[in-house]
Amino acid sequence: MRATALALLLVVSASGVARAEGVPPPPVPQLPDEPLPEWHPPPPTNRHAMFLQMSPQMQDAQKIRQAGLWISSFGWAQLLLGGVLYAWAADLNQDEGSPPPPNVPGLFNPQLEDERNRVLGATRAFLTIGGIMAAGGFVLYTMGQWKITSHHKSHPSEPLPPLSGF
Amino acid sequence: MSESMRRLLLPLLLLCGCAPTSAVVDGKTVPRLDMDFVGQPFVVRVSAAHPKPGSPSGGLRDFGGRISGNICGLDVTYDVQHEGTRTRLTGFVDEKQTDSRLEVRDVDGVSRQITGSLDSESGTAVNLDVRKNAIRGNIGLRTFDLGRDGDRYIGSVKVVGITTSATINGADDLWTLPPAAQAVVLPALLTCYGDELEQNKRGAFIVGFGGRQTWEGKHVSAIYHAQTGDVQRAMMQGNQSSTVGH
Repeated sequence: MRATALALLLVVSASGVARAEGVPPPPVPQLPDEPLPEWHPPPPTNRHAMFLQMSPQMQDAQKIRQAGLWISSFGWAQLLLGGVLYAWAADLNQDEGSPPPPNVPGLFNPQLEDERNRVLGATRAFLTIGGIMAAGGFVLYTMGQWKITSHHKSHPSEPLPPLSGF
Repeated sequence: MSESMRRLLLPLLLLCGCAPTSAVVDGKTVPRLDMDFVGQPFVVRVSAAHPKPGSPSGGLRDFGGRISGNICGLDVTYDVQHEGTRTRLTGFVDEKQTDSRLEVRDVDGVSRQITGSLDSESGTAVNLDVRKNAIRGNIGLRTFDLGRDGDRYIGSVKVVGITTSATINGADDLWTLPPAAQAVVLPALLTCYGDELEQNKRGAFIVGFGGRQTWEGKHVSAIYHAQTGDVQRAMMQGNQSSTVGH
């Protein structure tokens, strides 16, 4: 029993020693005293001091997240516009196949077809660009959020941006 | 609030809100100075500073401006008052309820002594002897012994349960700070890395003046790590030194 207790004590004390991992200090230079320097205002510099509420890493991550939100928002707006244009193109297509009453039924109208093609082209462009922007923005947002999450895990006491998810 | 209280408080508030924008130096009215200083990891702004404060014990009696900023994750704000034989700083550190009081004075023209309390709530007393070629003294339960080696101070910091290497880079830049700013920045900076030293008992202490500004998160300072078992035991034993320097 005593041997077990002694072994436990040794293990605990050994872990205690291993826990302290300071860097051996260098010898302290011993120089004679000198008069304190007189203070003069430093010359103005172009250096910018940053007074931050959040760490630069968190600010960068928040900027990425915000950029993602904006880009994705524009993307979704373009997708909506593309949807509206598609409905317009479908309507023009319908008119082309069976024109409304004042027109002669079955008469091909090339102007109507050109208009439909223009609207359809714009629809394709809006849907493609909007899709890319919506997806790209989402990826950027996720990347920013991932950076915030990983930084928060390593620095849990640091201030977080609004709507950080924590 | 009674009418008499309101009458008293209004002029007081107006008085506090209007810091002087100029000072008299050698009989001439000179505009006060606004300066920014950065380091690793700190940034402070000295506003409405006296343009020629001289030595903190040089006899000047005047308002010395305000110092605010972030030092190793600590938000600090101090009012500076030159009081002839000393310069007194009163302010707040982070959201602490108790105020912080520091004093700086020069002794024999070779020693700048910074004393007071960084944060009375955690019992972080300041007792520093800053010389051109050495920095010695205590911040809370930390004891520093540093000597000048070129543009840096090197030596040791003794924390409860660990003695490790300590380096302050930018020794020349330290002396570009006015004495009052030194008294604000240096003690707070020397509490840095409490999460490593006090909490985990590992690592080295490296900070700096000038150069590229760096940033440290909240609650890294040793004033937030005074509750560890070793620190509490040391405080109970009362082994905190009360002497400055040698």
